[in-house]
Amino acid sequence: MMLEYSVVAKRLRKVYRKEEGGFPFRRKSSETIVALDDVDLSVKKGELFGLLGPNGAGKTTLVKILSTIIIPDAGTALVNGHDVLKEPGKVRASIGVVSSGERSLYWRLTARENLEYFARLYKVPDGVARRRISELLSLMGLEDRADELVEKYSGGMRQKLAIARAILHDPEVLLLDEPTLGLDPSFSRSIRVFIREELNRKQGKTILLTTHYMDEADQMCDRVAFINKGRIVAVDSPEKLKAMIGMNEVLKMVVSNLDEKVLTMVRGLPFIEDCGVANAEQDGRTMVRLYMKNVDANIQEVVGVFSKAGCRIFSLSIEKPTLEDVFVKLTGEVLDG
Amino acid sequence: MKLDAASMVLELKAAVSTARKEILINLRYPLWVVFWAIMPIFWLAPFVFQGHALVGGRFSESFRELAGSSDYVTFTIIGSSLYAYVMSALWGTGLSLRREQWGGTLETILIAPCSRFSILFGKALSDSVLTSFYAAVQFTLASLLFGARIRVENLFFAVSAVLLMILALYGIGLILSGLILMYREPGALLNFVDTLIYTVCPVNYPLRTLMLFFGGVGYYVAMVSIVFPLTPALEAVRAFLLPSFNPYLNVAIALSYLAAVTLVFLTLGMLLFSVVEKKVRRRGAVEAY
Repeated sequence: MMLEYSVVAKRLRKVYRKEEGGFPFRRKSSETIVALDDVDLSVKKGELFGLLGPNGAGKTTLVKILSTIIIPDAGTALVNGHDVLKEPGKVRASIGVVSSGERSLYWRLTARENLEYFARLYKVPDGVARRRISELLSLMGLEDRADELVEKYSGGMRQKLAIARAILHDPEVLLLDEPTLGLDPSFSRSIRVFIREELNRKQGKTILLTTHYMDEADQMCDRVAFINKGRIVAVDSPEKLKAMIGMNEVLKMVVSNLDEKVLTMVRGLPFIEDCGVANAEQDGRTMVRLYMKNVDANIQEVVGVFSKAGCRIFSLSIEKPTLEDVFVKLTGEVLDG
Repeated sequence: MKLDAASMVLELKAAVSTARKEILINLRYPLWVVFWAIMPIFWLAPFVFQGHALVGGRFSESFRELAGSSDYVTFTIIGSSLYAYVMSALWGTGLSLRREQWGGTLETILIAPCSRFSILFGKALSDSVLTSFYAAVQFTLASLLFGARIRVENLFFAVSAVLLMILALYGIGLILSGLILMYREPGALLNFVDTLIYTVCPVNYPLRTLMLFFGGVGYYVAMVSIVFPLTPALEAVRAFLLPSFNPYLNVAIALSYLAAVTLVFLTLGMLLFSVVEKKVRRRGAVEAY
């Protein structure tokens, strides 16, 4: 039977209970963290699906449940038609997982030795493994340094090797948890292109990608789900999500001396629909995103309010709405990173 | 999990590959390889020196009364060589998954579709190979330095007894591995078990010493000692290798008992590990420090 969906999550719930004290006096605290709160999600076969949310939103917990590393408190999930609770072995055989960071490889082994080892763990027949390892090293541009210890690799090379390891057994589904986190822009770009063009379009793999980089999700994904505080708040294509906020432009300003009084005045302007303020402040400067009607006609008035209130304006630009704008509008929170 | 012949071969390959990986990583730290091959001689030497000081030579008549053989030097060399396997099972297999956790690779190997026991068996296999190498170097060096005298014709039987002991010890390693994955603080637990085994097992003294020292209670202390596979193994190996050694335990009984505890520890280790692994996944703490 042809499956329409490669990943289906139904009412998944996971609550972590904090622990206090050291062994043997460790005890569970009454403090809990709801990582996933009745999450429903479906990823179509062959789709590149993005899970977008801030740190601590529940993205990694969801990936770990789908990869059978965490058992949910309630609900269930199917990966390639296999239940993560009842058939974890079949799920593991049909997925490839790449996590953020570089520690998922053995640094004191060479790239080739790492791949040879994981080929055995993934039960790839020896002949097939030799061919695949050679192909993947070449595909990743690592063949010249295949016999060097991984500890001598850069972060980007290690991430490429981690991707090679994840697709060694040619899985149908890939779970990529923040695969470009901490990489420099050129490596990030090449990894994004590889995931989208080679793995998704050419090889037809179903990919669930978690990220808190809005551009990454916007550029790469067929559909995106926003997750915040363990709940899915919206699912659709990036274009449809951006259309949800109902305006074509956003006024982005970097200002200083911003306080709540000024923001209240700005929000009170009749043409302002919403206002997002970034968490990060550098040298007293704050980025403000104003969601407003008819930017051209109203820009002077906005500038006037900031100036009168003693705010210095460092930059001002009119932009197209991004996924972050949608996220801000839906949750009232700003994506970090 | 379905286990036909083909999938068993693949599981075995995963185990052997895990052992190969562990050995390769160990060999990439050559100074540690030299350390573990040579240092145990320095730990053994003070016992030999102390023995010489106490009895005025390498043979002791009072030792003969307790052990049947007066050659306490060979007795101690055998003891310390076998004790190396205890350290390997505790600090190697017991800590193996915790090391993967520290390195950040535990989740990656647990996501693989092969059995967890194949990975653990592979780790135990590499520990056995490396420890056998270290024990062989240690025995050879100690023999050259202090003059060990063994019945070489019985080496095969002695090695068979050691193999049985290794399996039982790795059952204990499996139990500890599960407990450490669960409680994440291995230092105190491993040191306690290690010290307990070293104290109550006859590594450096004949088992009858316990009776001599503790009187009537000595029998019960000996019973505690026998719980650990090292004791029956030491009794059997010394009976095979040490001329005129008089074991406290009958060799046939010691070996049968060793086979039985091997089964018990391995079964217990596998059961406990399965329960703990599920519990850790439920707690969401596989990669937790």
